[in-house]
Amino acid sequence: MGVALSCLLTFASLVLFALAMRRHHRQAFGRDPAPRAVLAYRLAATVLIVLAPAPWMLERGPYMGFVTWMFCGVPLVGLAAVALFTALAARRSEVETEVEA
Amino acid sequence: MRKTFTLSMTFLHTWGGLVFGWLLFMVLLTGSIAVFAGELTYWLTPEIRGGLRPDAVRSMQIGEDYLRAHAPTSRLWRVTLPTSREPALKVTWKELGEGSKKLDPETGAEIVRKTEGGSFFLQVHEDFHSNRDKNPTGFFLVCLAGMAMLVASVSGIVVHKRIFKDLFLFRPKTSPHRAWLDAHNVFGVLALPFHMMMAFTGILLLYWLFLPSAAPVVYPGGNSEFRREANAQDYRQVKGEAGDPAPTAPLKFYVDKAESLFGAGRTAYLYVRDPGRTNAVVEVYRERTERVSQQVDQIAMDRNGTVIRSLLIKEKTPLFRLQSFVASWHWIEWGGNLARWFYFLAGLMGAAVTAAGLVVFTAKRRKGAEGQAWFRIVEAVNVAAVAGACIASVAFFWAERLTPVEAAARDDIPVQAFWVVWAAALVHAALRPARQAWVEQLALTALLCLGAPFLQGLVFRDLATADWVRIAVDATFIAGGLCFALAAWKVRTPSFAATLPARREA
Amino acid sequence: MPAAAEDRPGAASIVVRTAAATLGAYAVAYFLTSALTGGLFRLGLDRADSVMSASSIALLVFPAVSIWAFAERRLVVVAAAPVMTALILAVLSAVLHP
Repeated sequence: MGVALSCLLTFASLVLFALAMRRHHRQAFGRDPAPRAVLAYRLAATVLIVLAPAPWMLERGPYMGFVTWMFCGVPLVGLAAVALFTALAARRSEVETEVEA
Repeated sequence: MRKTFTLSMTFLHTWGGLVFGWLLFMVLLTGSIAVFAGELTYWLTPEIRGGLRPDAVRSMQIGEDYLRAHAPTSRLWRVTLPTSREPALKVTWKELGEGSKKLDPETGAEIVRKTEGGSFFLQVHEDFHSNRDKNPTGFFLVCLAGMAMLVASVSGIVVHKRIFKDLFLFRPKTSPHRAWLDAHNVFGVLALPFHMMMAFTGILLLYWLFLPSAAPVVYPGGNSEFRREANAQDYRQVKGEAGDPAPTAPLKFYVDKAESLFGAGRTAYLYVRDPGRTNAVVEVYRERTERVSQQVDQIAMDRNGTVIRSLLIKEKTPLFRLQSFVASWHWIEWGGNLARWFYFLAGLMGAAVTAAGLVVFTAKRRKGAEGQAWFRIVEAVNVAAVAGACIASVAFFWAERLTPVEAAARDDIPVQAFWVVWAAALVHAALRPARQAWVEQLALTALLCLGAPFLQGLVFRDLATADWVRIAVDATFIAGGLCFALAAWKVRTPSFAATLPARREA
Repeated sequence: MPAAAEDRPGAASIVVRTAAATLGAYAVAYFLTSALTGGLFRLGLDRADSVMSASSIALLVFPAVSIWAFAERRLVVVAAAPVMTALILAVLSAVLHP
């Protein structure tokens, strides 16, 4: 349960970090992010990534919890975020081709 | 100056990555599989009854009775208690008669099948399944590959530094060569902390073997004396003259005594040196399933149960505990099934980085170097090092299942099958055009993975007994088979034609 | 241009750098552990701890030397420096031997 919550928080944080980047914001929304939005994304993402390991560590003990979250949780959840943005980019390019056609 | 630095790092990453990548893929693949060594041994030994919840005290008694009956004159006994990962009792005896048996932990019936099981992958991962005490070449190769992994990680950061700006850059559709490069970068960046940690801690586990120059400085007896003092481990090897016959108490007496020091029900295995003699010594070792620690607590007692030596982690120096803590990140006995699954998947990500990197090497150079002899060799070795290693690993399981239980030298046959199949994969890759070789070897791996659970119709028996460990192994084989089938299909389709050479006639 | 030269380095450069990155780095790490073990033990560390700490440090020095062997441009330095360092460390470890 704690592990799942940690994974969700990590995922949310990584997605926000990605949205703060121009390319990925375009993939998601089709336009550039406003400068203040970038700041907000980064701030929220940082808060979430700091909080993320806590439930995992509470459930599995501080040492085991941190080691598995840091070394295994983050990369595997990161893969999910990569998959999300790849899918978003693919959908976006389909939509754009349709508009052009 | 900075530009030159980037270029030299590119050179190092490219060529060092190529040569050590061939070794590293094998090390990473077998290491990932070895995370489940215990479960795989259990899967490979259908004679172990499913769904057992063995009682430690009773198992200990059964093991003791067996040794007293079958090896009364041996000078060293070992009893390994069953675990939930592999519920078989193991007894080993040495010197004046030598043998090793697995027993049913409830009935004491012998399990006749001899197998290396999952520990085979552990040994390939550690030293390419060579005896590192006799010939440390394999061990040093793996250590060098680990160092190369650290070097490749650092130089990779320099080479691919742009990816830190675009963390989620993955463009499977733009161009095939870019897709492989992106896969290499994505897997590499996401799991970079894990991979650097694993490369370093892998050597930290056995630092006294990799750098044997330190111990002799402060220990006149060198490494063995250092190991005796620091880890209290090699004492069971020390043998004097056997004493006069004298009764030893039942093993439970010593186990209870040890467990009063390190926790009830925590015994993992024990050794008895010179059982039934005046100089008998019993050494009891603690398990570490809930401890992040490389070293294990251990208590040695004489015949009367007086503690003559003990190693308790909590009594050791902070530096000792730190090394033990950090090194155990690699040797994952803690954390349970969840941590093992994470390690398995993150380890496979490491193998994926290596494989994608090897493909990028050839994809980038195809235009200039196609047709040159060295390029053809690199391509063939790439196929064998990646797809061939996968076939060989699955072939090991097939050989285990298909070799009759009563065959002579039974446990050697699957080991030989592993190396022979790997060599055959190299020959096949040398004879076929690279793209066909990739497709054929990936497809073969997929078929072998999909077929493995069905050998001898065992998958149905496991479903009947609701044996979840074995069912999970079956399910993982099938999932792996589907992934390999998908990979074979992707490599076959024309969009990847540009990354791998076209047919000879084209 | 040096850029082109570095991109396609000569055979001698590759051999020397590879040797320095593996054999040289190992020699440095090997003698560094023995020198450090002696030094740390003299500083008052437990003897098991001095072996362990010296080895852990040397395990980090090994990849650093490997990377340096490819980053340093002057081939003479790449060839000579690890050997000299290993020799100095060997002498030092003999001096520090308790």
